[in-house]
This record gives sequence, structure tokens and C-alpha cells, in this order.
Amino acid sequence: MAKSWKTVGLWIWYVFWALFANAAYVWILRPLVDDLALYGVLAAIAIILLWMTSLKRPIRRRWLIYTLFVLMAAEGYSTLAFASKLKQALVAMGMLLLLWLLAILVGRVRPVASLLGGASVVIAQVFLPLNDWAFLTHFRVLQDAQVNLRVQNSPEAPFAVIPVSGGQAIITIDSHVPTKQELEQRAMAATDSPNALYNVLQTAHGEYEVVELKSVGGHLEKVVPAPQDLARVNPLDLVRAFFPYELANWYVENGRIYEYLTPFLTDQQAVEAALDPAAYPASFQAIANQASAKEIANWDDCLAELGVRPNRAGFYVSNDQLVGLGAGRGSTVSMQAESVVGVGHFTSASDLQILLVGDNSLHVYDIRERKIVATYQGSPENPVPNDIRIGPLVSGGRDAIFVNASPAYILTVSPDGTWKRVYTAPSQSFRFEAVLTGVKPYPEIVTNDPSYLRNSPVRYFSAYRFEPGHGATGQLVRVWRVFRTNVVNVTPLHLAGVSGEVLALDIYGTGEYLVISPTNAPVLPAACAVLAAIIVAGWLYRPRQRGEGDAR
Amino acid sequence: MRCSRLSFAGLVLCAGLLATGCTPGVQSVSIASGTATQVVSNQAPWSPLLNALDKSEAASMYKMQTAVNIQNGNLHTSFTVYGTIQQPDMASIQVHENNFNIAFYQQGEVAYQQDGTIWSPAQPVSNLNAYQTYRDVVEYAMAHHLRLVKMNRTYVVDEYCDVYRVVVPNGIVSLPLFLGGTAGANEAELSRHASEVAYVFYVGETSGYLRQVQTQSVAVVDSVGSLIMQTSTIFQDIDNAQLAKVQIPVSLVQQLEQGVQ
Repeated sequence: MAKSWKTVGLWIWYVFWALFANAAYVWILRPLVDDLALYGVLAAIAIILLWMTSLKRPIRRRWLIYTLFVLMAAEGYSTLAFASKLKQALVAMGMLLLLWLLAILVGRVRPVASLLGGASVVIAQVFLPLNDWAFLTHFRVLQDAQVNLRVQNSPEAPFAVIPVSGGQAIITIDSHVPTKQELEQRAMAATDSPNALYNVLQTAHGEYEVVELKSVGGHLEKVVPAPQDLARVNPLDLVRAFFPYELANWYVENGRIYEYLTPFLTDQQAVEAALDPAAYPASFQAIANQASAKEIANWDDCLAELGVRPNRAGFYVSNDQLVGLGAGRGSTVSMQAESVVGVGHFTSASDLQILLVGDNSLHVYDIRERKIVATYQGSPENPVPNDIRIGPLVSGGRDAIFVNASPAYILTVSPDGTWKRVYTAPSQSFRFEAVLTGVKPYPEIVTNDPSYLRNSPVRYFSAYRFEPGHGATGQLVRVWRVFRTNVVNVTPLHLAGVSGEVLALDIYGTGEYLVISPTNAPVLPAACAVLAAIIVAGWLYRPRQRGEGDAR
Repeated sequence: MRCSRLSFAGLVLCAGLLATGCTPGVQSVSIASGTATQVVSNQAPWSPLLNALDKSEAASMYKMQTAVNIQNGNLHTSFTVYGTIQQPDMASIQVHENNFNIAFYQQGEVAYQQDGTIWSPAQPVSNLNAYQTYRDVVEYAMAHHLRLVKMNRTYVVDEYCDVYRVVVPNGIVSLPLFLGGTAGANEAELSRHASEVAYVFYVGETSGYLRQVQTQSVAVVDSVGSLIMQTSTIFQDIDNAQLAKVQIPVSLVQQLEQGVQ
């Protein structure tokens, strides 16, 4: 009986070490290399050597090989990407068994305990992929799910955020493959133009369905959106990845909206446009105007078919009119701008103001005063893009404007309407993603930015706080950094059933999306402490002559 | 004994790497093209640029390589072109529109386009001179006394270039025929709904041709907002009868030989 307890204890220790070794790799070793370049490599080597000295000779080889085995099993599984779950499971099993046999052969590791350890890192990744463990140092992962995308035309899931009762929801797209019967039906019904049959069959396997990610008890679920929800969407939010070269064509079937893509230009037109390089700026502006008008008309037609009228959420601009003002949101005002960035307090801490972007400029429209109170003009060399975030620099302060140009910069506007550039990013690839206001004691400016030391544009998900300087400009001081790359579309959300602000985000190139919520749990310091404790325990530990190595 | 141990260890390492799917990655190749960054003179004469334009317009053959990049939110989309052009009526061009690829071949009245792998007959393009419409920019700027700025000399492809920049309103360049007069494409609408365009011209110091033209502008689109648009066009092998000669694509020859039109 005592022996079996001991075995169970051993198994638990093996499983713990399998998970902890991977966590230490993702949280401590890999970030050192990612952020500190050569210094990081040296530091990582030092830590590994230190750990190896804590392994006494009789058990060294076994534990070294076992650790390598669990690291390789985890890394290997994290790179598997098969559409079919069955294929993925079979390949994972094959990989695990092969590595396990190698580990037994080379390291004479304990067979059962090692297999358990290897299996545990694979199973853990079914819930949260290894690369996303990085988030755990500063966030709770509320959800890690996926929509199916064809990454060649949609490398990330578009997020159109709409208000719903109790919070917000996301409208996005999910790949839709018609059944054989559906396809047959549609092919036979394609009779209304000479190209109809070609259009149906050519796009049949590249279709998307418009879906809603809705909070059900704090968990986002993929549901068929209600027509009222679809009416609130700006359809141009769904087409960013291919606008304006490809046109999204939407149609309604059985109360759902489906989407397929066609090139906006015919081959002939594309060639003509290509051969007139001097006209590119004008040609593509014209093409974008036409694509936008077509897509809006198409979307509104689908809404009409579903029996609803467009009822876009919040304030928006349409045909040079700012819409959504007044008590019944019925008033409009003429505006030289093309889109609304958001609502905040820019020149005054009390008045609600709308930030608009258009014509290479920013405008602040005060709702109470009913006029534009400040305007910022970009230049052709220093343009203002539509990639802008809003948020306060200090708790309770007026909102600043975070402009993702290259380089990115932060603007503030004083009560008298003068603009100040208070920060300019040191790197061309620095990006502002969001401003978290629900955290204490200062707002966290969430960014994607590269290492200061390495000569590599790879960006990591990070957060900074703003520190006012002596002169006109200030500094950003890093609060945390999550060593996860390819984090895009970071969207602050309020979900029904979840207290506080959460972040929804996409992983670029995968269709994977996560919902995370900030936490203050000291995960990283705790992991460092545990690693240090294990090393010290290893030094103190004296294995018996036969060398079972139970405590390692 | 020692050797077999080593090879055993090597074998195990390879097997392990294979099992986890570790393989070396492929490095992508970048286009050699400089970008001028500093203004060296605020008032430059127009004659060198005009001479370069005259000489380039008269060039009988060249290769061109262009890219249009649009930044929409965090995403970048692109339109790229690789072409060989021989005046007055021969061209072989590849266009990559995001993820659509098109090829086009023309000799005189004969023209074919390729979608995927199949070639089909197309309309010949009447004007194959890619340099021509730059004249619209220069003439407009001179007529309106806009300032031509000289920037630092820059290496492009295979020679040093003198660099000139001018900022003009959008919509002054004649558009491709299919866009003429369509909604959203007239001059008034373009100039009202887009920022001015900065054109940067690179004139080869030894060849005297226009070697590269870059533009930077902001397109403003209803319901979308401001899109930063950057374009770059590189010309090379100008009047080089060996390298810039247009040839019939092999796949087109094969298809036509099989009797498929």
C-alpha cells in the first residue's frame, strides 16, 4: 500500500514537472532570449546550467532527458495544425510515442511516469495552446476558441462590436462549406445571368457565414445573429483584410447572411490600372469609394430581406453627415469627415465629445456645444490613418489620442484647442492596441512593440503607463510584457455576466481568438520562486546510492 | 565505439526534431530600393526632372515593378505588378491583387489574360507607356507654381539618383479609361475626399532616366475613414534590348499549341 502511494506521488511529481518545465520555458527562458538578445541567451544558459548542477549525478541523465522529452512533446504538439481533429490526434499520438521511445532508449526514464508527463502537456494544450500560456502571467484566459478562416484572404477574424442587452457582442465571419445537396440546389437555381453558374461553383468552397459571438454566462458562443443585431453593424468592419481589391458579396439564405469574395476589378481593369502608376493614388481612392458604396448597398439589401433597417450603433458618418445625435439619435450634422473614431473627453473633462477622422485630419466635435472644438491636420509626409485608439493618460484625466502611424505617436489637445504630440514611439513597428481603464492605480496602455535591444521587428503584447516629462513630451514606462506575438484586433469589451472590462483579441493567421481578463496574481514571481526552490532543493538532496531520484 | 555513440546521439536528435516538426525556415528576398529621407534644398529647378521625363517617355523598352500598399486599421493590403514593356504595343505583366494573381500578355492586336492556369483572349491595352501620366503631375505643378523640393541623393537598383519631391492635389492625373467618369472617380470628388499626394521622383545620375517614383497620400472613404496609401514604382533595364525584351509566356505557347483558345 505504502509503495503504491509512493508511485502515485512520483507520478504527480512527474506530471507537475512536465507542466512546470514548459511554463518556465514560456514565462522565463524564452522571454529572456526574445527581449534581451545575446544577453538573454547567456542568462538562459546560466539558468539551465544552474539547474543542471542541482541534479546529482545518478539522476542527471534521466531528468535531463525527461525534461527534454516534455519540452519537445509540448513544442511539437503546439506546431500541429490539421483541419481534422482526428488527424491531429493521430499525429500527436504518433509523435508522443516516438519521442517517448527515444527518451526511454536514451535516458532510461521511468516509462509510465514519463508517458503520463508527456500526455499531460499534450492534454493541457487541448485547453490552452502552449504559446498562449504566455498570457497567464498577467491575464485569466476566459476563452480560447476559433473561427475557421481561409488565411490567404482573411488572416484574422474581423471584430464588429455591437451593443446588446447587458453588454456587447461581436459580429464576425466563419467559414461555411455547403453540403452536397445545398450546392446542387444552388447550382440548378443559377440561371439569371450568363455567369451565374460559374459564380456559384467558383466560390462555393470559399464562402463565409456571418456569425455572432455572444456572451452566454460570460462565455462567448457562436450563434446565428438576430436581424436586429446585424442592423447595428458597419459592414465595412468585416472586410478590412481584403478591401478594396476584393469585394464581399453578401446574400441571405434561411435567415442567415453568407459571404463570398470576388475580385473588384476584372482582369482587364486590373491590368489597365497597373499600367498607370502615376494615377495609383487616385485610381485606388476611386476604387475604394466604389467598393465601399457597393458593399454598403449590398449589406442594406440583405438587411431589408431580413426585415430590418440599418440601425448602426453609436455615432457614425454617412455621406458627409454625422448621424446619431440628439435625443432620438435622429439629428444629423454636416461634417467634413468620413468616420467616427470614438467618444471621449478631449478638451473638456465634462463634455461628451466625438473624435472624427477624415481628409488627413482629426476633428473633435462637442455634443453639448454642437460644434467642432479642435482640429488636427496631418501632412502628406505625416498622415493621420484610421488606426487610432482613445484613452486617458492618467486616471480620471482627459482622453489622449493614440495614433498608429509609423512611427506611432500620442496627441493631447488642451481646452483651448491646441494640439500637443506628447510621445513618439522609438520604433517604426510600435503599435497602440487599447487603453485599459479598469485597472489600478493608473490606466495601462496596451501595445504591440518590439524588443529595444534586438534588431527584429517581431512585436510582443505589452503594457505601459505614461510618465509626464519636464518638457512637452513624456515617457512610457513598461508595466508588463506578455511574450506572445501575432496578437491583433485587441478589443476592450463589456460582456454580459462578466464584471469589469475584458479584452477580446485575435491571433494573426490562425482564426484563433481569445477573451482575457487582467489579473494581479503574481504568477511570474511565483514561478521564479518555485524554480529557485527546486534548484536549491536539488543541491540539498542526497540520492541513495542506487539513485531512484524520487524527489526530483 | 565513440563514433557509434556519436552517430546514435545524432540519430536520436534528428528523430526528435523530425517528430516535433522542427525544420529550417526560408528567408524572403527584398527588393533593393532606397528611400530618400532628408530635404537638402527647398527650391529646385524643374529642368532636370523634365529632361528625365522626356528621356523616359521615349524609352523603347523597360521592366517595371510596382507596389500599392494600403493600411486599413492594423491590416495592410497590397497590389503589386511586375511587367516588361516594349513600345508601342508589346507587354508581359503579372498583377498580384491581394491573393488573386493575373497574368497578361500583349503583342500588337493579340492579347491574352491568365486567371489561375488558363489563358483566355483579352482586349489589347491601347496605351502601354507607363511613364506618360507623370507628365500630368509635373505640368500641373509647374502651371500652379508648386514648390519642387530636392532631397538627398539615393541609390536605386544600380545607380545613384537625384531625388525631387512635389505635393499636388489628388485627382489631377488622368485615370485609366475604365474609371473615367464613374461614381467616386471625378476630380472634384477625389480632391475633396483625399489628402494631397506627395510624389517623389528619383532621376538616375548616370542614365538620366526616371528610375523610381514613390507616392504617399491618404485616401478617405465613406464608413471606412482614412487609409494611408503608399505606392512605389521602380523602372529597370531601360532600353536594355537583352533584359527588357518581351517574350511569349511558355504556358501560353503550350496552351495554344494544344488548340485551346
